[in-house]
Amino acid sequence: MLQVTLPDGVIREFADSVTALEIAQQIGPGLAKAAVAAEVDGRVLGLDQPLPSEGGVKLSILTRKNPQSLDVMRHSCAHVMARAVMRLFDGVQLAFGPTIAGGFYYDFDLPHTLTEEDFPQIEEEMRRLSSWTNRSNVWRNRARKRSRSAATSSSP
Amino acid sequence: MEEPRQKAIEICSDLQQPLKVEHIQTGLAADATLSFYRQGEFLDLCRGPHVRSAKTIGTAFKLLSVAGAYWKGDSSRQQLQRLYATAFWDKKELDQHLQQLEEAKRRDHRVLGRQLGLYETDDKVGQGLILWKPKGALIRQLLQDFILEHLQRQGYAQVFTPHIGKLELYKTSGHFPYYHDSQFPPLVDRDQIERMAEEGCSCAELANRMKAGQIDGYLLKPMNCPHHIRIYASELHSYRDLPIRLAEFGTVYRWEQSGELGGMTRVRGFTQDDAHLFVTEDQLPAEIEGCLELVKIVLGTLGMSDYRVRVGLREPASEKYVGTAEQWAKAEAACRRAAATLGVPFTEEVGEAAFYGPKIDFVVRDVIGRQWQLGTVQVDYQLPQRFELTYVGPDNAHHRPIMIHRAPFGSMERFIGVLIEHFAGAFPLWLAPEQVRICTVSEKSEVYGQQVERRFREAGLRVTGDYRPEKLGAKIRDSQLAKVPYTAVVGPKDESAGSVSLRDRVDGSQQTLAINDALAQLESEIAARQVRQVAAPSTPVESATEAHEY
Repeated sequence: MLQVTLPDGVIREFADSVTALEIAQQIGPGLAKAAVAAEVDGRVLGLDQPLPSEGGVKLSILTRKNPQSLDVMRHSCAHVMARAVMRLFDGVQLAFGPTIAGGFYYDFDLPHTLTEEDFPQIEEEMRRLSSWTNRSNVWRNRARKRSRSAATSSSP
Repeated sequence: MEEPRQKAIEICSDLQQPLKVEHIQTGLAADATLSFYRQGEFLDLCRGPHVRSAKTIGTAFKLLSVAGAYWKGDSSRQQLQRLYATAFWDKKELDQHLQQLEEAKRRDHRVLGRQLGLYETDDKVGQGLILWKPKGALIRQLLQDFILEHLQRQGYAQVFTPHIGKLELYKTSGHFPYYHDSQFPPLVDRDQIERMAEEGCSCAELANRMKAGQIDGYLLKPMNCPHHIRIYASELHSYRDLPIRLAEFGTVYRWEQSGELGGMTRVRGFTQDDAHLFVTEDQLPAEIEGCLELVKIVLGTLGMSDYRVRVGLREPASEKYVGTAEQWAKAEAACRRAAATLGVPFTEEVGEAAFYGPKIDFVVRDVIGRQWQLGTVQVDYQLPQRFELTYVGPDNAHHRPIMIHRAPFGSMERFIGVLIEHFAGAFPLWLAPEQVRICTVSEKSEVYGQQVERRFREAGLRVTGDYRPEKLGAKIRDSQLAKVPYTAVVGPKDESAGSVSLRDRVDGSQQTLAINDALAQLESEIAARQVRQVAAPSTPVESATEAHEY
């Protein structure tokens, strides 16, 4: 049995393993829609991370109004940026991509030397990646790979 | 998704991500399972937390720059390419932020410092060592004089101490070895080195002995405290003499990695607006308040009233602090109260105190909303003990004074670097290296122009004259670019009327004034140390409490 204490002091109990999103949905559909992440006992967690099934936690749902949610978004954005770089260039090895004051960065090891001229292309790819659902991305990626290998007839 | 270690290593190997594999084996060695971020075909080792869907991210993001960075900061490993970017919830916030970055670039003190001839750094002299050119030196001297004026009003006495001190001195203070990483290697006694060479001492042996402090020599001082302490200790003091306040614009030297040096904010040699106070316990609260009062006055005069303080307190449960619980309680209460009387926002940070006492940090916000950490006021119970300082109390017994270290602006280098950015190089009239520039309409007015120049100079103004045969418009523009606060245009009409046409850089206004009236106006603006700034173009975006450490 998990005891969850909400910011207004209300305590809810859950028998099965539950996620912060499910708790938000219980509180109200509006909150669930606005939820970005959750703060559980002082730590910021993703909405889909399963909470412990025993004990008690303090939980509050983070929306855009909470400053910590921006860091969560930025960190995810860093991964989208990494994904974009991997799709556009060959031989990319990833290092770390943390958030920092005012933004984030990601470290890469790749043969191509990145310059500001590459930025528009990377941003365009990021926009594509963040405006479609996951499923359609998988199909598009396969289609792109197919058309690319058809076009490059000189590759061994 | 979560995967056990071995599976995680396999996944990363299959994805051809050796750096991630290395990290799992080293940095994440203690983790039994590892988390991945997944989006479509993309799998990335990451603890999270993440948003549920990439759609939440939106499109208000922008790539900013690319720079080099070493894997794990290790210069013997491969150089990686670091892509900097930012993201906001909506485009408006992003645009505001980008505007702020643009504005910051325009104000970069490294660019303006060179453009305006304020200071230089030179590879032949060495990185991180500032050459103050005449214009920069003027600003610095004026600021120092201003600070000194107030110090004297508050009962400080100025002292001068050497740039080096014997190793023994720093062993007593504890700088050797505790401050070892931040210090230049010792200046070793010449005779001793020659003796060691004769004995066939190897380099390794020499290095080891130097590190262990077994070789006599001197240290380039990293801080001014030990010298000031020895001044205090040179006389017997009675409680009636306290508080004793010793001030010095003391130049100190600290070793910084060459990759981290830059501009005026990361340097190896710098001059602190330093002072050490020796006080009794009863005097502590008032003296701390006095230190903060001085900062309030100086920052207020410079139009930088947007600042806050951080009070560093100790971790109550921890054993690592010097001094009794009672002393700490009194000192922390004094710091808190002093911070509160300042009337600016302040935070208390438990665990941020030094082991020898609580402290107060100053963080100032500049005109475009960036935060800069300046200096500190630090209470110290440790050094008086290490140096066995005393004063004779009313009971005729010896007591231990408490020290306060304070360098509220940090250093002249850092402070002026911040001011350059805050004013975008357009210093207020009283600080401007060039206050008025005479510009003649044509060569016909050159003689009159020079007469006006002489009058202004005799009145004590920092004035120059532009008598080139250029168009007036170009000369005025040059004067504006050089950030000269006032341009005094003189033409034939002015010559017959004995006047000048004074153009104000701040608001663009123009006045034709008799020479005496012009002088009176300028003198009164200087005497009042007026700051008249154009309003900032963008509003601050970040409400972060992170201060720039540069």
